[in-house]
Amino acid sequence: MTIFFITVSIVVVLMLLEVPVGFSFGAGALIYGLSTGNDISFHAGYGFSQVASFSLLALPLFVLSGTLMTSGGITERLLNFVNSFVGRTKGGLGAVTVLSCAMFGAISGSASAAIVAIGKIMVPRMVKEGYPQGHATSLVAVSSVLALMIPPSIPMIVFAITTRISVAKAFLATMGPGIMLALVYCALNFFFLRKNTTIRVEPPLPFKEVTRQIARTGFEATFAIIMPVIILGGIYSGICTPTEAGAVALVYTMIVGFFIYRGMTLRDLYTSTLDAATLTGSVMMVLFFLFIMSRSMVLAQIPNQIADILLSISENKIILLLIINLLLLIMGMIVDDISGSVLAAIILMPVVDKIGIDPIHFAAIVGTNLGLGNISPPCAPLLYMAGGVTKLPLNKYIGPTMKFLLLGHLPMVFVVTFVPELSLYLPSLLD
Amino acid sequence: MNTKTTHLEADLDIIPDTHPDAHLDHYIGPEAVKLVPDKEQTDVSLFFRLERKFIALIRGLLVFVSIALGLLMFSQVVMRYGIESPFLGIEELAPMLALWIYFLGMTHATREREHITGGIVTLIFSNHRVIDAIRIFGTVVCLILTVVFGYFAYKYALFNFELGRKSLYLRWPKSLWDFSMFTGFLLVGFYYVLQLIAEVRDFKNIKSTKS
Repeated sequence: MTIFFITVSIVVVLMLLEVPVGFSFGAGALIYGLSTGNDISFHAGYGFSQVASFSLLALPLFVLSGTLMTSGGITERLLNFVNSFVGRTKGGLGAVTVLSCAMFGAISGSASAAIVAIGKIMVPRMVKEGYPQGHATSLVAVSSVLALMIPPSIPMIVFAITTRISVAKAFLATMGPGIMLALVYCALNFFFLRKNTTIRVEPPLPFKEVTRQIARTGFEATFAIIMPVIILGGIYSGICTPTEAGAVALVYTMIVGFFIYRGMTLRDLYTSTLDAATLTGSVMMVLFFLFIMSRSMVLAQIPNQIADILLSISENKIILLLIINLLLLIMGMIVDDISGSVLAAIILMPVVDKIGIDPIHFAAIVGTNLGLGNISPPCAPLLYMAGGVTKLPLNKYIGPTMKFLLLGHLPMVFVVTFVPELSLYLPSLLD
Repeated sequence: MNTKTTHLEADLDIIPDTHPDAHLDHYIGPEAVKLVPDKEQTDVSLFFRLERKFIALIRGLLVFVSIALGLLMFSQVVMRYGIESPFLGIEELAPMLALWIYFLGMTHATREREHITGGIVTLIFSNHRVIDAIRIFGTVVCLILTVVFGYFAYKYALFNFELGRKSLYLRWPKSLWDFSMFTGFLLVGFYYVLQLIAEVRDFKNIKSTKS
């Protein structure tokens, strides 16, 4: 265990020193292998066989369709549609941002794509209407996590593959909590802005006009709105696997972008595809090294030893769940969501098994908690990315972000943890 | 426009613009050094001209293979339901294309410095020289790991090549799959060498100044 803790410390220090996450895990794998005297020559072959998994093909396909969506005119139509419902109320644009991130999540599964797509359009719009810049930026940062919770979710694909549970069930596990969190963020947004005097709101329209606007924007966004139905319907009806659903989503995005909305050009296709391939490459590098490091630790029975340590602290399920949540939060604060999913699956699964938690319920806990960690400093990629998009220094939006997290996301983590029905009901419909 | 925006823009204006991104230093720390300089600066060098042609080829391959993978997987669904005759070779072919995307994508991410990175260096340190030194250390770590794992990747690919292994359905040599990993590490190593050279040069040139 001493070697394990030293290895983990080295990995964390390297990450804090801006060494790419993948190589930090690679260093961990190498140091751990050399220190324990294990044969490390099998490392590359093992990592290779894991990333060559057929199920993992869903990842590049969803990343690509998510990236293409930002250039196909789909995002604007989704935004206009959501805007027609709540856009003309005080704080309405904030709610549009949250709900659009949730809808975007339902068709892409990438939080960073949601920040770029929604943030670039909504933050300038909110600031123009008098929203505080910090509030607008933090709203995009916290809402982007909804894309990770509402299926298809890339971290859930990785979690399901690592724990060998059904990808379709893992998708549904975080769906209920994701929708609830979206509503909580909308409510908090209205609450925080209730006394704001700088926000300008367009005068309300007569009911008939509102209905007409909803119908018009809804009609324009039809092809974007039915996309989640096609993807999720395809998976849950058994017509296609999650991997094939990624391909369907990609082809659908291209058809809609090129021929229906006509907002996509060949140049967009080239740039978005290259961006997606680059992102896929960097994610796969993380997974490659992480699978290797995890394998070494599993061979040394580290997860079982951690389980024994945790069980020696307490056998009370509630206390253990609180400890697991704390560990997940710390994990999420240090590593990205995909690495966190694999680490949680490998390190914490034995404890979860021993205390009798359903793996699907655990998937929901991991998905919800890691999202919180990903917008909590010091390593908060989504938080920094939102600031990068809006060109705002961290100290201007960290305050509102913490308010959203402490009053919205953190309570949701506890709800998901202690009310398993919330995450188990939808997956149970598949049985 | 609200007051906060005005202050922010005023702040941005007073910082001397000695570097294209210098105005951002105040907020996010100094930009990382580019391992391949901008086109205008390197047009005279044959090496960088060749590198540009090479990376254009890699980019073209990445785009082509990514779209091919999507269409291939889509055709699997169409063939199953449209003509009720699934082609099993797709399940071998698709991972092969994906592996080349992963490892060439990794190469491109290295060249563009787009690997997933955390870090608090620029939040803690403000001295450019210290930040540069830490980044050089990080690059050396990455280079060492690339060499070690690249060596293992080579041994793995060579082992399977010598066995003459073929895929089950298509009967294609498995080397087409295996050498993607070795090629990826080889190219990543090449770009880390370029990055190290660029960072050491920058470290030597930069004066110890606070950002």
